[in-house]
Amino acid sequence: MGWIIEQLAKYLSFPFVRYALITGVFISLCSSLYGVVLVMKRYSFIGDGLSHVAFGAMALASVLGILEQKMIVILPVTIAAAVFLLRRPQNTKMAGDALIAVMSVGALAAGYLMMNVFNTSGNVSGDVCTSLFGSTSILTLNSFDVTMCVVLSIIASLLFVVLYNKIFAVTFDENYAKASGLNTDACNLIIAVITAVIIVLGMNLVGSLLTSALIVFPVLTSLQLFQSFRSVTVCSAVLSVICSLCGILFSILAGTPVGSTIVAAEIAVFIIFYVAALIRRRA
Amino acid sequence: MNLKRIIKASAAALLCMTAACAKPVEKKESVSSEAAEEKEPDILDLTFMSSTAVYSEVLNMMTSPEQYRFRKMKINGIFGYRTNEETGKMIFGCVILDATQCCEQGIEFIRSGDYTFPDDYPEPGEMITVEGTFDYYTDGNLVNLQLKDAVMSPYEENG
Repeated sequence: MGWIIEQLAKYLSFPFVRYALITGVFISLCSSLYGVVLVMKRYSFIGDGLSHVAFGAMALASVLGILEQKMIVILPVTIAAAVFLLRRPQNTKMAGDALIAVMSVGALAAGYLMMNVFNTSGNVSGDVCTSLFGSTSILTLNSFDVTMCVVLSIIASLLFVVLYNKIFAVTFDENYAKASGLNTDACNLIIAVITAVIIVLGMNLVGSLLTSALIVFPVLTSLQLFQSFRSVTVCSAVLSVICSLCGILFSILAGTPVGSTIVAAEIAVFIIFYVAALIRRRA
Repeated sequence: MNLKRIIKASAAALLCMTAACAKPVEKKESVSSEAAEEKEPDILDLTFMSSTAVYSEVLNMMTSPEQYRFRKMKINGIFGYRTNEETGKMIFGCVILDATQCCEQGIEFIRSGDYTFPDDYPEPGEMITVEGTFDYYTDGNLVNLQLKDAVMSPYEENG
C-alpha cells in the first residue's frame, strides 16, 4: 500500500496525470447523467454510431492539419449527425437502425482511409490506436483540451439539472409530455446536441469505440439495484466517476491502456451489482 | 423556463467554446509561462513510470516540445539505431512502446565523448537507461526528439 501511495504521489507531480484525473471525473459525470436518458429512450446504440462519426471528423481534422483545434471540426459534425439521427422523420425509406449502421461504418472507414492516405503525423497506428481505443488519449491532453472538456461537461451537467423535470417527462412518455404542452421537439434537440457533445468528450477518455460503454454501463449497473429515475441517475453518476478514477489510476500504475481499463472496471462493477440483485431477489 | 431561450444560450456557449479553439497559440504561450512558474524538479525522471505513462509523456513531448526544451531527462527504453541515408550518419535511439506494444515513440540520443559502434553500444532490442538534455528538431511536419550530452547505461529498474 505504501508503495502505491508513493508511486501515486510521484505520478501526481506530472501535469498530464492531474489533467487526466480532472477531465476523467467531469466527462464520466456528464456521460452517466445523459446515459440514463439514452438508455431509457432506447437510444443506446446511437452513442456508438455517433462516436464513429466523431472519429471520422477527427481524421478530417488531422488531414486538414488542425489536429490541435480538432474540436472545431469534430463538434459541429457530430452535433449535425446527432440532430439528423434523433430528429429525422420516422416514416422514411431507411430505418433508423440501418441509418445508424451506415453512418457508423461509413465514418469509421472514411476516417481510417483518410488517416492512411493523407498521413500527416508519421504515426498512423499510434493515432488510430489512441483515438479508437483511448489507449493514452486522456493522458495526452493539453491544458486547453482540459479547459474545453471541463467547461463543456459543466454546461451539459447544469443543463441536465435545470431541465431535469422536462427530460424526465420526455424520457418516459413523450406523447403525454407533448399533450401536456411541453415543447418535446426542443427538448429532444437539446438531448441530441448534448449527446453529441458527450460523445466527443467521451472519445478523449475511452476512445471512440468504447464511448458507448461510458454511457451504457453505469446506467445498466444502477438499474440492477435501483428503480426510480432519480436514484438510478445518482447511482450512475457516482459509479461512473469512481470507475473512471480507478481505471485511470490503475492504468497509470500497471501500464494498461486507459480506455479499456476504465471499461473493465465498469464491467466488474456491473457483475457485482448483477450478483447483488440476484441475491436480493432470492432473499 | 423557456426552452427556446435555453437552446439559444446553449448554442451560444458551444459557439464560444468552438471559437475559442481557433486561438490555441496564444493560450499555449500562457500555458508555457505558467509551466515555467511551477517549480520543476532538476531532472525529469521517467524511469519509475509504467509503459502507458512514459508513452503518454513522450507523446506530450512530441506535441509540445518547446515546453521540455533544455530540461534534463532520464528515461528507460529499448536501444535501436538507424542510418541517415543522406548524411550516412548513425542515429541512436531509445524506443518507448505503449502498453499494447503496437505503437512506439523514439527519442534520439547523442552521447558525449568518443564511442564507436558497435563496440560501445548494446545489441538492438536491449533495454537501456538514457540521461541527457532534451532538445528537438523538425523535419518537414515531423518533430524529432533528442537527448543531447547523453549518458547511456544498462537498464536501471526504478520503483
